[in-house]
Amino acid sequence: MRLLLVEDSQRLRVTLVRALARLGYAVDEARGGDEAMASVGVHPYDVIILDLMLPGKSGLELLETWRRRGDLTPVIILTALASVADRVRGLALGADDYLVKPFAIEELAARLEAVIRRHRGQADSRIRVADLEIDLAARTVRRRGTALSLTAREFSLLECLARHPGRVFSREQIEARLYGEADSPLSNAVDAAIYALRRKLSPGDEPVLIHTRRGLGYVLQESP
Amino acid sequence: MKSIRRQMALSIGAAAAILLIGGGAGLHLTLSKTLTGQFDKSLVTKAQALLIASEIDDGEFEIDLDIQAFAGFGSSSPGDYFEVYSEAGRALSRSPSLGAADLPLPENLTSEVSGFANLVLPDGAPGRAYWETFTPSDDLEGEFRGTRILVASDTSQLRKTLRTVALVILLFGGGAILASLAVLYRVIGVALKPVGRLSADVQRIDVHRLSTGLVVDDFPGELQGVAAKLNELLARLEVSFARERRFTSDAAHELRTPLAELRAMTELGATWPDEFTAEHGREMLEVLAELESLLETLSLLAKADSEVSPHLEPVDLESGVRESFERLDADLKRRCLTVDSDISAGSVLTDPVLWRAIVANLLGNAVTYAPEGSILRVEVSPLVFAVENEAPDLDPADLDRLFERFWRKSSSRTEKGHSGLGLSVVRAAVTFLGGECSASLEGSRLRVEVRWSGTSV
Repeated sequence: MRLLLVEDSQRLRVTLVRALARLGYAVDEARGGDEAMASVGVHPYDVIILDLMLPGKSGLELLETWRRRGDLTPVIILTALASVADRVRGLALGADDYLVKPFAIEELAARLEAVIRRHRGQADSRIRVADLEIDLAARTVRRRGTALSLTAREFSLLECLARHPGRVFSREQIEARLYGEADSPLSNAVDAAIYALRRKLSPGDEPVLIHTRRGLGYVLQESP
Repeated sequence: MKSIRRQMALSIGAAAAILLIGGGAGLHLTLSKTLTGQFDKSLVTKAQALLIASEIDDGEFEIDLDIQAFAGFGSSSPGDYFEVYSEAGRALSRSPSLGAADLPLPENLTSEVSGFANLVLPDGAPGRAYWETFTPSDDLEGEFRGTRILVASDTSQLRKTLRTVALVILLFGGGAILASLAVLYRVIGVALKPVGRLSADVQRIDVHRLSTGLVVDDFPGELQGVAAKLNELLARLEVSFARERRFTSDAAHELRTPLAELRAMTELGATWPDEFTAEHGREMLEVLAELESLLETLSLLAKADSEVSPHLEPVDLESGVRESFERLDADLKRRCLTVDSDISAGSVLTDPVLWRAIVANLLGNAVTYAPEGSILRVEVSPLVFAVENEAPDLDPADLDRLFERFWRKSSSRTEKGHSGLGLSVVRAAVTFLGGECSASLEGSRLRVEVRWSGTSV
């Protein structure tokens, strides 16, 4: 899950990036409107967290530009402007949610999940593939009813594959969704992560769910 | 509840009743006096007629019977009586209407030469009498000296007339009082209508839209002053409410970002303790320090916004400015700024806390925003305090917004510790102290000037 955090307060930005990274998101940061415009042109993001009062272009101007271009990436507005008029203006311009400062990181994470789910047309936060059950909101995984313990990055990898069961993801696609600009993964990082995740998903003799498609990438599905 | 209408109607009614009763009583008294006067006059006339007709015949006192009848004392005319007494009180002659009875003698009959008296007539009717002491003209021997004639008439008719008049006055007066009360009540009601409307209009004023006020021209002259003053007070209230609302919302807005930072940092440390380092602790302290200074600024603004009078005392011009520069010394050196100052000696009568805030904010702003290595100019006199610095980013259109709360040339908060409140604090404080502040741009040089209305000491 890759996010773009556009926030000009350095302290808030750094703190949020760390917290979101601990929650398993790959986060890119932008200090102002121009940096945000540049990043959005380069990477696909699952959600953009956008402050409104920014140096250069304001948050609302950015949002308007993206929506005019047909970019429907979900946007959560994060701002100190708390009046009803401000919220309505933000939502009317195409924001998916609105969070007023100060806020709890927990709430930001819950809203991120809800926005992503809504964007993909999922009403339920749980995904089932064979006997594997993934709860995206609670960030838990169970196989045959037994809870499995995954690291944040392993969970993100599983989430990426599980959101589209049966679809083949290339190594590059996975890397783009898993790692932010600040990360510099080794060339075999994705393969190593897939290997580790595959083992954790089959702690006993359960059938393997992540399959390798040689030359193409990886897929999550019941049948090989 | 007291009603002006009822009270006015009752008091005017009471005054009218007193006047009417007094007038009625006066009228009755005058009428009674006039009628009694006329009655007395006719008694005197009758007595005179009898005296003219009196004679001494063979030593006997007599009055011509024809004259008696003519004067109305015949036996056929009851109600009119006379009797003549000798000085010793012996009856010499009496009217036929008396028959054998005597007229009762009034008490003061002997002491006075003539006079009037009320008495009860022999037939029991009320009467009035006139007596006169005389000596008949043909009493040559003086035998009848000190003879008295007493003439009396029945006053029943007079009394009846006066009673009727009193009744008419009473009925008319009472009716007039009742009618005037009803008319008064209506007239006062009509006259007081605008007061009722004023009261209704005031009650209709919406607390959330005070500026709507009252339509002054709708009221009569006497109430226009009240309505206009009310409108003025409401407008002032509205302005003060709006200022308070704006202040609260600005303050809340400005507190949100540092609070969000503090909350996120604390949450990160609480959820993942390994993320919490000494550096985080220092950053959190920095945020707290910013919050504290923001609170101080906000309370200064609240002080300047309040409408109590400033606490004035003499403040030395030079030491105030030097003190502020000392505090900014590190920044001045770091940014290689030069200060060209022109500070006149003397002191100014002002509020020391607000004065320090004005000086600190103007100098602090100049030191923060002037380009590195540039020259600041400070001019201080009891009448003017001006600060000049290079401001290449500003354009003339920004000058109007310079003193707005939370306005920054760039909307970012990358400049730490600058809330965008500095110049608005200056303006609020200067206005509160009765001065004026203005900003002008000459080329790229910004001059912010504060003028006092001559409060130097």
